[in-house]
Amino acid sequence: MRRFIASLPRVGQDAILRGVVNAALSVAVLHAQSAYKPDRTPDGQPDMQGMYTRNGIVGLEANPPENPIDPSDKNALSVSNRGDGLGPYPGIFGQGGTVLRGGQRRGANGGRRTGIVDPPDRNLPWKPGEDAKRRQFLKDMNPAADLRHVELNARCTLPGLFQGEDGNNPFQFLQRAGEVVLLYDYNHTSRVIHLDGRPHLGKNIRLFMGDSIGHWEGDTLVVDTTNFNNRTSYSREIPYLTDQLHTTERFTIADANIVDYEITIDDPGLFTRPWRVAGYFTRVPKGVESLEFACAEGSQTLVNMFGQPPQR
Amino acid sequence: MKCNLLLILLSAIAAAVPAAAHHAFAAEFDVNSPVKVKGTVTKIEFTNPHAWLYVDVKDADGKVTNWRFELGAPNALVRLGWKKDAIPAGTEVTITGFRAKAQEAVANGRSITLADGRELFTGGSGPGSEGKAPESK
Repeated sequence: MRRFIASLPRVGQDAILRGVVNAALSVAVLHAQSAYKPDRTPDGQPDMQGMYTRNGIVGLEANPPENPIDPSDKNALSVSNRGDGLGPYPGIFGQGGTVLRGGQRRGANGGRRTGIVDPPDRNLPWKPGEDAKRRQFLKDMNPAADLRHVELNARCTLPGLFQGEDGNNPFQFLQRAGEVVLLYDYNHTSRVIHLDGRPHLGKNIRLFMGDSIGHWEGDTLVVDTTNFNNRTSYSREIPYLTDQLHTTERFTIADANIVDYEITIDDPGLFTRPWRVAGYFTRVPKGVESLEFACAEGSQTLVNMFGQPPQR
Repeated sequence: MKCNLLLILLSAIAAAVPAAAHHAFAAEFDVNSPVKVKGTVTKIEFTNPHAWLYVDVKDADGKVTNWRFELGAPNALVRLGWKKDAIPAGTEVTITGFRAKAQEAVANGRSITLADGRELFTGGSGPGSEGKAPESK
């Protein structure tokens, strides 16, 4: 076998070696997945109930756009680049630890995949013209040309499947007969994933959180979601998706504390083919509970940007 | 007590992460309008998606203006050990930040300095607040 490989052109050798390595990794992954046997719920589902934080779902593209609302020092307009001592904000930001962080560190030890995994070079398959439109849209967000150019999160809309404030607002998984429920701490919203084999809703019903139908494949919950409206976003760099969005998620119970996650994003309104993002959920320490997050209560974004409405 | 307060507030720096994720700093606050005011705390509001700190500031003519500074998200603040009385009314503070684009006496809080010189950070939505989670690659 070794002699056979050696006789091949170099490219062929690499391909075979990559195949061998990939096969070995696949076996390792299968082994890792089969090593842990989760408990079963009364209706026979693998039990992944609990409170988790989500990690690594949003990953940067290979060629990210210049983003005028990006606060980092990559943005020439950022206070980080003032040079007068008032910026950047103290570097210690983000280095502390919340009570949720213990769970995040569990995942750190696993070398798990995060961010855009397909395409491997992280160049997203934009339809002709759509990337340019997206880049112009971002420019029109600062100053905001109009309400449409105020980011959706800042308008307190429901987060869709991607905006959930990973890492600091936990998600609670509940499992009932025939359904899995995700309760979001962020914006105090929820998703119900139906496991009873029902069809998707009619095409005229459009939702922020979509319509989710799921089934179990071993210890992996596979969820097909359609019926999105056109007011969801992927990230600060991809500020809108279309109502043609169709996602397929895979929640795989890895062990008692980690649920691996992968989502395939198929939005023919923006992209020529589906692309995939990986991340994982990590169980937070016992005692953490979901808190109310009434976004509209304290949000001052619109008056801070556009001023107070006329007084009657 | 003072030591505990400092520890709590330093820990609160991590609250910057969710606050930053909620909205983009640069679209709402003016990077070219830094503010630095000295005054007396009148109240702190623990409202989502941001807590707000109110400070009475007296100008040279003696006129008092009640400034409002955006802080981090209270869900995160609470999980860090913050309580609503962490900075009680009556506390003398010097606070820096960046003014809102279309509001008077409203700003994104950057840091708070107490009368004894200790500097606290606000967990606001400004740059640097999107710290990498420990597992990031």
